[in-house]
Amino acid sequence: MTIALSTIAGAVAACLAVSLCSLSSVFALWLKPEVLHRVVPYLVALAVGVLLGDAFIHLIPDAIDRHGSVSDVCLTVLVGVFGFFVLEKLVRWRHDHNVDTTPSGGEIMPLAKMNLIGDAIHNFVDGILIAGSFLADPALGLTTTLAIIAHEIPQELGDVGALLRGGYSPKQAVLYNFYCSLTVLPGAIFTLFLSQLAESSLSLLLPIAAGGFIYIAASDLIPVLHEPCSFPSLSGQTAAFGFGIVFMQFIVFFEQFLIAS
Amino acid sequence: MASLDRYLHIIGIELLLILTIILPLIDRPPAKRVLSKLFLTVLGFMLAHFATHALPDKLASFIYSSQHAYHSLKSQAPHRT
Repeated sequence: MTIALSTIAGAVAACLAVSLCSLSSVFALWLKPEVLHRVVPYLVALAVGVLLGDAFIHLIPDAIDRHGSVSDVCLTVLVGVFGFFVLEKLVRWRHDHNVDTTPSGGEIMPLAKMNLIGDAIHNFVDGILIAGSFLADPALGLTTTLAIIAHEIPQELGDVGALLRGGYSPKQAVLYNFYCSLTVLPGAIFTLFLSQLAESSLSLLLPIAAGGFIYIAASDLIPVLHEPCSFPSLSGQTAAFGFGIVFMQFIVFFEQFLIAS
Repeated sequence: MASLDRYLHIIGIELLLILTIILPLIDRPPAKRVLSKLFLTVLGFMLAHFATHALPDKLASFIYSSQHAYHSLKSQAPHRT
């Protein structure tokens, strides 16, 4: 199969647009440390809402649409949760052997690393979706890119909040988050050159990414939210959590509108 | 469907934006040097393309579209200038 150069260029341009969106969290660098310290728990709550919303409203239904079998998809989600549990155990084990230190000597919590791994897989899947839709039709590629950008911005904000909570400095959080977002390009290139293999791998990668998000949100991020127990933190974090879910539902409506139009 | 040229312009602009944002965030001098060179290379390519293709194209299309006599296919509609 020959692929038009304009299709490859379009997919690469779309992937770079998604990566550029991950730098939207750069605003964190302009905030004063005490303001950032106050904002981080709300960003973590937003991350929980967005990650769970993305998994339950977006990724799992999409995987069921592609695969057809609900039980197989649920089993793969569980495999994803289990895989991320093992991965976290490995990260913690390595951490306990004092190999894991930041350049400044501060400690990085495993939740930050898990978040980076989950985000990298998610962005790889986004790359597959973008290139797959560009191969089908450039107009569909554009609408898919818009939908991915729309859910990427709040997710990147939440991810940076989680990375800051995990011990990274604001600069490191923005940079590492950006490096992870670059996995969208290998995902697209993989699809452009091995489109059939990539299409079939989606039914596996989507629920695994969903399992990773559920695991990170439920086991790493939600316990962090329980640390400050005051009424403002309760109401603010609940609102941020709910906003994340509502936003992801809105994105699904937006995607359906784009596809219908 | 957008042309290949349009996509390449978008890629160039995105690369410039990304490099503009991440350059101040990088502390290691070797990485900073490499990225600065990449920034200048992309900017150079874009300026060269603008000077040798985009600008002459715009000028030519302006000149040839401004004069009815230059049109290779004459339209039947009354010409208004």
